[in-house]
Amino acid sequence: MGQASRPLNLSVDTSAAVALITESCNPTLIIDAIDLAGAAAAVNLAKVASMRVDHAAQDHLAPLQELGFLGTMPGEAGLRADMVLWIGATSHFIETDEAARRLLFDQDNLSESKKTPRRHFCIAAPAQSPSENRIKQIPIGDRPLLDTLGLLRARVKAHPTSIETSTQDDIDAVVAELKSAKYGVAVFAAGHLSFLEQTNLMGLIDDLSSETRWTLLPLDQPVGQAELARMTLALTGLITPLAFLGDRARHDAYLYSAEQSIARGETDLVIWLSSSTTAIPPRFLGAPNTIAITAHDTAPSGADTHIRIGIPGVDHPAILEPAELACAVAITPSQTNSAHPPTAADVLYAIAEHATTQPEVAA
Amino acid sequence: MTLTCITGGRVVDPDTKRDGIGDVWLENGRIIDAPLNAQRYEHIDATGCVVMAGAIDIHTHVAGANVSAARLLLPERYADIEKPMTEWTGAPFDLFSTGALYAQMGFTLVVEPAVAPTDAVATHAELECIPYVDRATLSVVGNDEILLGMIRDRASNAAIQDYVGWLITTSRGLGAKAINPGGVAALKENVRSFTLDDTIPEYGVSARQISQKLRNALKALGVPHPLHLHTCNLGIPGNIETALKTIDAAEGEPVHLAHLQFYGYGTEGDFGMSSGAAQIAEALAKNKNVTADVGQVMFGPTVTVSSDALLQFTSRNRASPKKFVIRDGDANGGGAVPLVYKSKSKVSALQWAIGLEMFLLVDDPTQIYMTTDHPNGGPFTAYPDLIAQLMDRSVRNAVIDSLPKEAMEVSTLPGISREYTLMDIATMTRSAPAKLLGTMDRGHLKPGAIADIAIYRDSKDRAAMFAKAAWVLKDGDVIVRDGHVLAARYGRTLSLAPEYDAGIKSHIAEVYDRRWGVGPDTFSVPATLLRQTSPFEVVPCRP
Amino acid sequence: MAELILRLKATPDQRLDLKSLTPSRLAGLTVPEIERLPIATTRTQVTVGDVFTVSGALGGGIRFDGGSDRFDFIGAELAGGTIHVDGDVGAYAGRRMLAGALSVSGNAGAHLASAMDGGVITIAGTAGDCLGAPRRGERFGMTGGTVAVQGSIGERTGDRMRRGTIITHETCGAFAASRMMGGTIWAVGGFGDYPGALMRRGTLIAPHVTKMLSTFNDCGVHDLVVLQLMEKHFKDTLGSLAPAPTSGPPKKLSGDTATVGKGELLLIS
Ligand SMILES: [Zn+2]
Repeated sequence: MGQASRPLNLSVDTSAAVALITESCNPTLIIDAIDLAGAAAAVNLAKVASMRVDHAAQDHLAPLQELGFLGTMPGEAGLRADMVLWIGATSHFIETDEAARRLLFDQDNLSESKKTPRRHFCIAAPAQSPSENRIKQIPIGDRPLLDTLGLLRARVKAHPTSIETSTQDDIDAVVAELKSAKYGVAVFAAGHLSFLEQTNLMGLIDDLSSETRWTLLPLDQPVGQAELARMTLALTGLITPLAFLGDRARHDAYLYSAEQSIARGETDLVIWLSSSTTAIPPRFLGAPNTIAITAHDTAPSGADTHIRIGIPGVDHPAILEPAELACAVAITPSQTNSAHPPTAADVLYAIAEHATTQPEVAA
Repeated sequence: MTLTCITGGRVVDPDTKRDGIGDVWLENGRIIDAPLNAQRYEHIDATGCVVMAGAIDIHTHVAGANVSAARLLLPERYADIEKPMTEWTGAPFDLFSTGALYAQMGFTLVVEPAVAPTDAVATHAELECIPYVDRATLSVVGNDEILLGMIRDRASNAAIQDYVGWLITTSRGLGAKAINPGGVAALKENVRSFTLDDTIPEYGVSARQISQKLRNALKALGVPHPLHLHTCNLGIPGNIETALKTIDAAEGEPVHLAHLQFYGYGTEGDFGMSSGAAQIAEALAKNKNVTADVGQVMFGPTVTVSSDALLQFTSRNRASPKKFVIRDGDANGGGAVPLVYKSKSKVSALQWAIGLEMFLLVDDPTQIYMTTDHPNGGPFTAYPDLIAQLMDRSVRNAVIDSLPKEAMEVSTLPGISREYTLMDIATMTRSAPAKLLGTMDRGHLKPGAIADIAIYRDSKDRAAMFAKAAWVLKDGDVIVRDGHVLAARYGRTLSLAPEYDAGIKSHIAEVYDRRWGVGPDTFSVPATLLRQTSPFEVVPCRP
Repeated sequence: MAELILRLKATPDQRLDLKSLTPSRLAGLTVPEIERLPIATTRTQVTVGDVFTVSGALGGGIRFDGGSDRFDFIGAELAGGTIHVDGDVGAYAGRRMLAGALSVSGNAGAHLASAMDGGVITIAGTAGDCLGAPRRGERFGMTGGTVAVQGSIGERTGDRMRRGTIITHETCGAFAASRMMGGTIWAVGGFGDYPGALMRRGTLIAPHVTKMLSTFNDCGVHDLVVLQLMEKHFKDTLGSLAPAPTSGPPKKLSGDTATVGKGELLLIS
């Protein structure tokens, strides 16, 4: 995949990693923080060396595969939203997520006609709901989120429910508010919602969209996920978890899940790839051998072999997808790291050069 | 690179009006005059073959956020399939297969026509992974806050020109495309239908105005490719009116209408849909300033990939299977909606017939271009079948016989006897698109041209002939032999560098800061992306 | 009737893809040819002969003498004949099965009867999550056939199910019948939390449910005769694996009104 023009004069020693990969029966590449070039190089390595590939936060994209998405971008939401519905456990990122803060604190509406205050509602268990007083709690009692979303959907369509009349009146009042939005945005963190909760949420947004505009904005997205998904989709047509068997990639969320195959004792080598200094999560430790390709100065805990790489956009120019923009941008660091750590792509292409079991196959 | 001679083939080259057995010489990646006394050279024996310049696809959705969304949405179209990834199952091909499949058919340049400037970095990174062929993009403009605000605020033509110049430059496009201009912005205000003279709430700007401003800007900038226009009301019966009004609205100035088949729909007949192809052909004959690609529908499963978010939003309930991605973007957004064109469906059958009528009723092959609007009307891998249907009336009639009678009764296709010649095919897929894009050293075999050459083994079975070229040369290198690609080779991405007054950046900076809190160069495409060498090559603007 | 016997030599050290081992796929192959079939899912190549001692002759039936939770895709696209596993099976057993019979003396893993269309699967032990569910992105889960499990079954049973029957003699885990569009799930030992989420159509039968969604509504008492007809049908097709007859008329709930709400839950006594 285009490694031909890449010079391989690396200053780091990849021979230990190459030896472990060559010996391995079932090497599994687990990716956390990554830039676009690193993600492309990772797919190339997995392909030529017949590996499994997974993202550290796999399965967040599952609902999109099943039912798709009615979505918006952070910039668009910040510009247009006149109503925001905060779904599930949002309190932890409401403080930290830039797009979330803009929705909550900036009143950046498009034109004079929209200078009505943006209305905020939240659906969450009381313990999880944000302690922000501009956000109005939807009265759900101790009902689980799945049930609340279902109730809202039922009442949007005036379908019967089994709840008592007074509670249903409360729900109906909320539904009337939701229907009055001009551009409603439901924000949620995919990692904190179950598959069925997300399905019901998407359904609610679609139901509301028959009359008004409602759309979804995912927040708190796992680091590296957008970059990796973009490149695996482009280069294989599929998302992680992937297995390269023979000359093509296969996708199966159960069989190829890195976390589950480590737990089931099916993986003999983990290659943890993160262009950051995050520790290797315990759920990915436990394979007989672990190679860490990270930005740590020394091997992180749990790694048998370590290769240091630079931080993209800090130590070297890189293409990344900052969550607050939700699109890829090229970032050039203001000053280069004098230690010149190699990029993830450099290291992965160098390993691929020596660990190839599959040649680049002509179609 | 060595001196090479392709001998004994039937050379079909519209630019030189050449159609006969002859030699083609090349050296160092370019076509050259026959040397006076060549001693040592490579020899390709093309006896029994047809030799043409490499083909160009001016409108094919092969990369970018909407294509990604379509892949994400349809994992089942890859699951459990032991077939190679190069077989069409209705989900977008991966990028390696994309390049290989195009090359096998003799294509050497493909244009991804819908790159949102905010998505340009990622899209160009993806395009760099398409092997064998060269690539280019068109930059999407026309629903973006800056342009709409400038038109609303009566900014000068010069200022709009500078903005468009800046946009094409920073997103590294080979031209500009407007996709349902105004309609997508109006959807954000919950408008669900939008036609040429409707105005966008909050802006008071119409599609007609947007197109006119963009046309003028591109002309002033010297951008060779005219405004590439996906006009409003795509796919809606009765939209023939919109198509004709859009042609009128061009006021005699160059404009390219994308996938015109999807606008050739009248409302007559038993099922409320009829063919407007004859009216389109008549209008094109009178308006030589207008070019169009067809967007031919071919039967089978596919997925529509479009930045016309209004269209995708309103057609989401017709998705098959019932799932879709619709995204409001910072300008156009877009979406992916899967569907199946069934040969048993009257509507699909009529769509197929209307496309072929357009090909056959428009007399001038420099005005009409072969596309399936991949993958919206069908995959680009259907081109060989489409060529066979155009060149061979019996192939076409066999399809007609298999389709619902009600649909064929409201079509004039069964009565059309025209058959495309090899010269027509070469004009439509080589010489005309090269000129339309301003890539003057492509699309022909004159000395000086890039040595992008497709050699097909001549056969009555046109589909087989054009599906697998006997040889394809890219920049003089053989990349395909006997219908199979050789070792991967990566080409260039063509872009423009129009001149504009950089003073416009202060206005852009102000809008970007308000909207994203970032500087105006944030979304600019750098010279290098995934690899250490730059994929870009600049095509000159008109003086 | 002649049977092909595959005796497990030792516990496999990787998951195996056994979809090629069905009567129709093996028809016409000699034992040495069968032994050479690849079944590996990792870089270490493994063939049938490496893992199994192959004997007997294919007469429409295959018997696995010894099983493993690493046996994936057993009976996938089975189009007739029988497969019996004396032991456990892994994931996706009976995937897209069309006809015939698959029986397992041990436990089945996840995704049993994935998108199954016909035939009968019987499991003497338990079965994992997503029984009868579709593979990622597919429109439908089970579209026909019968699955009878003696033990308990996991979560998300019958996801996107359209037709066919799933029976467990013990409990059915949480979120059963999610997105169900038709067919029947009978849980003799009762359902776990929130069955029928986003259910459009179909029938759930159980003596009790641990927690119900608020979008299921009480519809009074259901006709006993329909239930008795179903019981007779199961008795005929499943024999001793059929659920025991019910006594009184069942109470009926309908939902999920978050969607079209035409599914039914019959609470039997
Ligand atoms: Zn298009």
